[in-house]
Amino acid sequence: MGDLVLRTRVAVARRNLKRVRELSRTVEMRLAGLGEFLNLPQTLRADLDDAWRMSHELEALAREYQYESPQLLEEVQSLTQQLNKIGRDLQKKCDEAEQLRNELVQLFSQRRDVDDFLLKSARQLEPNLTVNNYFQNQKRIDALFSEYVDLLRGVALRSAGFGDDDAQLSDLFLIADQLPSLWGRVDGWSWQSLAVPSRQDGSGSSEAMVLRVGFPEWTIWALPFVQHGFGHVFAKKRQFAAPGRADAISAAALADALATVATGPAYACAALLLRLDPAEVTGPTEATVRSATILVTLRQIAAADPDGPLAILTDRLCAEWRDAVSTAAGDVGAFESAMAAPLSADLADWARRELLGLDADGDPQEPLWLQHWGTIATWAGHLQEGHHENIDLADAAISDDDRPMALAYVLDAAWLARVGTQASEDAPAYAEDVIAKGAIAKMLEVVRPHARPPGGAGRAGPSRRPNR
Amino acid sequence: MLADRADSSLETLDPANREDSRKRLQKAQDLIAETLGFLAAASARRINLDDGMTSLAQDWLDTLSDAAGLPQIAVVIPAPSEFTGMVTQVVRLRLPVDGVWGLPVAIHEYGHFVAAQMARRAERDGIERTVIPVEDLLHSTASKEDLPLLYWHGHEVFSDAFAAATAGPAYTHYCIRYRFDPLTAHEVTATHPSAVRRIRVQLTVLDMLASKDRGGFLIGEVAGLRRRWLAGLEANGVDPGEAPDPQLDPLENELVQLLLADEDLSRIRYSDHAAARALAEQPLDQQRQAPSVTHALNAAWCRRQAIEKDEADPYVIARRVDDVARATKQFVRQVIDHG
Repeated sequence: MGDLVLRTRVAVARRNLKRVRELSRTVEMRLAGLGEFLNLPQTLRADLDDAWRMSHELEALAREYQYESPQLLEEVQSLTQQLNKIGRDLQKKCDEAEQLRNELVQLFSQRRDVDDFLLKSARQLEPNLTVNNYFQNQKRIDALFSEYVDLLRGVALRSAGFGDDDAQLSDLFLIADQLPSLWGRVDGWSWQSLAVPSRQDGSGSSEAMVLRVGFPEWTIWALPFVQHGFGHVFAKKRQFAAPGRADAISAAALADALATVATGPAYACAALLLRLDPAEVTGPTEATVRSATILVTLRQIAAADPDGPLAILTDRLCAEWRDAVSTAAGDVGAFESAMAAPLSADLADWARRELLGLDADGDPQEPLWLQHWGTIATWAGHLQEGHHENIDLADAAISDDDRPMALAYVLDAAWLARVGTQASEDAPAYAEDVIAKGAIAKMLEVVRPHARPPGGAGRAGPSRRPNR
Repeated sequence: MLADRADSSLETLDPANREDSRKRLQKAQDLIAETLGFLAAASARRINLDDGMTSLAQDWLDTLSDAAGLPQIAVVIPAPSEFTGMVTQVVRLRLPVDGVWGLPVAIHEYGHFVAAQMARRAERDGIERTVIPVEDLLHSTASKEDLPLLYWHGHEVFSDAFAAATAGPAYTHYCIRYRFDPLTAHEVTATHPSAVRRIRVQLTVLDMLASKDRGGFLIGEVAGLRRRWLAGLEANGVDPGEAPDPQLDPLENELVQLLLADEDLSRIRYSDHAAARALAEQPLDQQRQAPSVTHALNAAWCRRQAIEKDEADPYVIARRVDDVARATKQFVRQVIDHG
């Protein structure tokens, strides 16, 4: 019997693994092309200097004839002024190009996990792949290729300058890259991979720990999903699975519990209001277990202050989700059962114990975001009023800790500005863009504190009224 | 002004009318006693016997008067008991003071003054004139019912409602922790209604503020206050309910409505409890400016409750609570001086 099929597939796999190994080179080549493009303002600047020098010479000449032809001098001076203005604009573009170039270079040079995990896996697999072990390795190879494609596509999308007046995609993912650092180090390891735009959110851990943020929302509102992706990475690192269950639903619910503890209600809002489908709450389905776990996690955290703002917000989210399930002809009873089931409580409890540290009585401590909930609520007010400049990031400072917690606080503040503890506090639809714009501007101040204000995300301005 | 009045009263004194003369002399003696008391109090304040609290209170009340467009009170002085002289406009605060925790009592006393100052234009009998709605309501209700007690009790109820509306939960915290004894919670005096009623009106006002306060912080705070008060009553076997009072109950309701409907007073009404919580989340010595003195005082209560929740050792709690009080006092001074 021939082995043509296998040999062909091994050859294809090897060729692709080689490509994976050369990922850095591929990206460097792409960045080299982009580099030439980014050099354009600098090249133009040199040409402009020539024109500027010539205009000055012309002006000196026109000055000699100013009595005979005063108009000539005026015209030449006007030309010089125009060149000066172009020069200033060009300088601004040079600065922006320089910043973009730096960020793109950092994209790969500082995100070591891609090299450490993805390329290492490819290097290990390629020489050892034979017709005898192809099928044993096929799943892993497919996952590697999928990740490779996601990475390339993600880097391309991030560097293409997509976006609108409010935010560039690259800005958004620059923030996304920093979100896992809110979790601190996991057994001495800290995440240094990439967050990339993808068709679907990351639902499982990947070789290179790449975190995927799924369409349709590549906006600040979807940023909390990065934390779900990292929840899978964290659980894998800590080698934890739901007690007695190793299925995909429990794994996703565990990542949800972790993401909720690490981020706060922003994650619950994003998951319940943007992603999970209430129509799929029809039994012990993924949507049922995940939504229940998220809400049970918030409830456990809020339990210490049963009349407090978090408890009120949690009750509201719970009621809204129940209504959504009912409206979508889902099974509210299934959701209630999942809320009461030991699984959601166990996952929430484990996530809190893992991430929060324990107090003297052995109970999980309050998350930092809850300790700063007053600050977060105040920031939410500033964001809703279109005055993000009133947010002082120093208020988020925590002692003896280098985690950029302000990112979580701004994310929570943005969601709290959009969804209040009661319906009357919800932001009107026309204010959502203002909130998002202000929040991104503040988060960029955290991730690149010394940079200029981003082009499109400067002062958010007063709330816009809808056009009539 | 009072001295002039007493002086002219003595000038026209008719020695033949013994009863009238006795009354006039008594008035003059009272005035001298009052003056001596005032001078003693002013001296006590000058030598800082009150730990600077009355001058702090006076500056705070002045900022509130300015913000609400009301006249300023004459002076705040330390005294053996609280009292606000409606004619002299002197607010007395009781010594010994309880530090910043007791500062909101100044707002209650100020409430008596405000009740006499709240004026609005209204048409009566076809003529537009200035009316003093709270005073008018209290006078008319008390005389109609022929119950002078109603006037004084109504005044106290209004001042409690005013203090809760202006100082927020900080005033009610103080009443529950320091002033009102659950064992005597149903006691009524000639001047004061029962503590049960006084707390009830404060919680009613705070509930109304909480329903409009963004973020849900005030709802939780008021629920905590209610729980604490009821627990205190229950622990002492005291009925938490107040017996219905056909005269005072409707008056209480009308006074609260008048208070909350007043546009000038709405400018000094407590709101944005989240801002107080945010203040409490950072050490006070690392703060930028507080939104108001009231927020600083409420932030102090937030910090105090957090300490009491975290700590088990009563000595550590007392020390840390004292630290909060000291820092808050300095901070309040800064807010007043630079605000």
